[in-house]
Amino acid sequence: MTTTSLHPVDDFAQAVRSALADLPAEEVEDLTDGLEADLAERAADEENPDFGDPITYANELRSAAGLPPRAAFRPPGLDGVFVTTWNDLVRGLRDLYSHPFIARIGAFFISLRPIWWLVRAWAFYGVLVWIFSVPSFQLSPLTFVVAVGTLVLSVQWGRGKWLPRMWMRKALLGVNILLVALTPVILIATLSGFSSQMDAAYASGANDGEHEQNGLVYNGRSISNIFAYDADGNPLKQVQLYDQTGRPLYTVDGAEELMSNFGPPYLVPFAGKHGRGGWNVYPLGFVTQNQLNDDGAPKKGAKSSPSTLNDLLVPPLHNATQPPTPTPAATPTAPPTPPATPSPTPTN
Amino acid sequence: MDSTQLLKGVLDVAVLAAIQDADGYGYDVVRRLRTAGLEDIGDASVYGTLRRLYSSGALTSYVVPSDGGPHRKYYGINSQGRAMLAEQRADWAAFAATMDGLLDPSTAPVVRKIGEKR
Repeated sequence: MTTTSLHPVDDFAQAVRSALADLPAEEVEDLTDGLEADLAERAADEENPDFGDPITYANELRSAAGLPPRAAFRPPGLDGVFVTTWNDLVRGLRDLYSHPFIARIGAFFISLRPIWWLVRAWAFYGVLVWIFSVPSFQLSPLTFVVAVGTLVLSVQWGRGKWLPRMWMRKALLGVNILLVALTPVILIATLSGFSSQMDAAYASGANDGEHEQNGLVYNGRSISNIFAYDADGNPLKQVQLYDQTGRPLYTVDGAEELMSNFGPPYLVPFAGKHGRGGWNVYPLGFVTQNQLNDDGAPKKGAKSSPSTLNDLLVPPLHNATQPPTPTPAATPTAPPTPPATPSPTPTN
Repeated sequence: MDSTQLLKGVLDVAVLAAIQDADGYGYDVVRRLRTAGLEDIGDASVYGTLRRLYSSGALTSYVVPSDGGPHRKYYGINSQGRAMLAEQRADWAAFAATMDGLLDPSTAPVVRKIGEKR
């Protein structure tokens, strides 16, 4: 009890209420309703008003009202322990807060409350969209209304509005604690949801939203053609490739895909197999643009040219008796030029 | 004798009697009781008693706002309270008569020891 306080009546009444804090809030309210007015009048009556010890006063009040004394009041149940612990915590925090430095720090954090209102609105929004399984970053009238609604609700609650009943304020405390606990989870969930949506958008953009990643990709690069060489370093023709599951290995997903993704030279399947079968026979041959139909398929009777890597020297695996003779250089990819053949030179 | 001990048994009837003619708020009732001669009565005891009588249905209660200050809680007696008061008044009268008879020196029985001279 501070005797230097400017409001001894209020302080005393508060101390009495604290001493009754183990009782239900309604009981305390009934018991001390009008206490300030009575104390103030008594203080005016007496020359040196001394209300005495608030705890003694509270005990007198309690026993006259027919309520059990504080010590005997609470059975040592879990509920009672919780209430005591909670009251002690609140009282301890209140005492701590009376320290000027702590009070100043507290004032700083109190000024940050609007940020908490925003975070709470965000968390609340996250919970709602999670419950109703709405993609949180999808801008729609529904998410807009929910976002604005949670924001307004959170701010109004923060300002002490829209909570007409005492139990609502207590419920809000519970909601706050829950949201504080959930905030990291919601933050991670919504952000990862955001990034996965971004990934999906990126992937669908790369495929024009129609196809999954098709064809053969090596280190992120699309492979259009494959060239195989035998043990002696000689290029192979009509090599049929299969993957580890025995399915044909296609570099492209048909002529249309090939045209849009790779452009000239226009690769065509090996004509000896029916349907798509020719697409896993490497190296794929090529045709010029005027040999293609509008739909990208080769015209009937179009003659494909074999693809080669003219300047690639592949050493034989075994001890070669003589090194392979280099062939005249051309471009790395198969050009729509005739395969390099040694130009005839006059011998005489 | 410590009168506070005596008061404890009669707080209810005292408080009921104090507001039987006019409603009163807490300190108002304390003042009436003190004016009547119960100077040692504790105000917290009176407030607690008012509260208990109200809970048991003997009193009515209403709040009156005051100008600028904290509001006052008034208590008034109802029919149940009046019945309680009448009953306790009769009890007290009987009890007081018994005690008076017991304590009155003129009527007190004289106990003499055997062999004691008059």
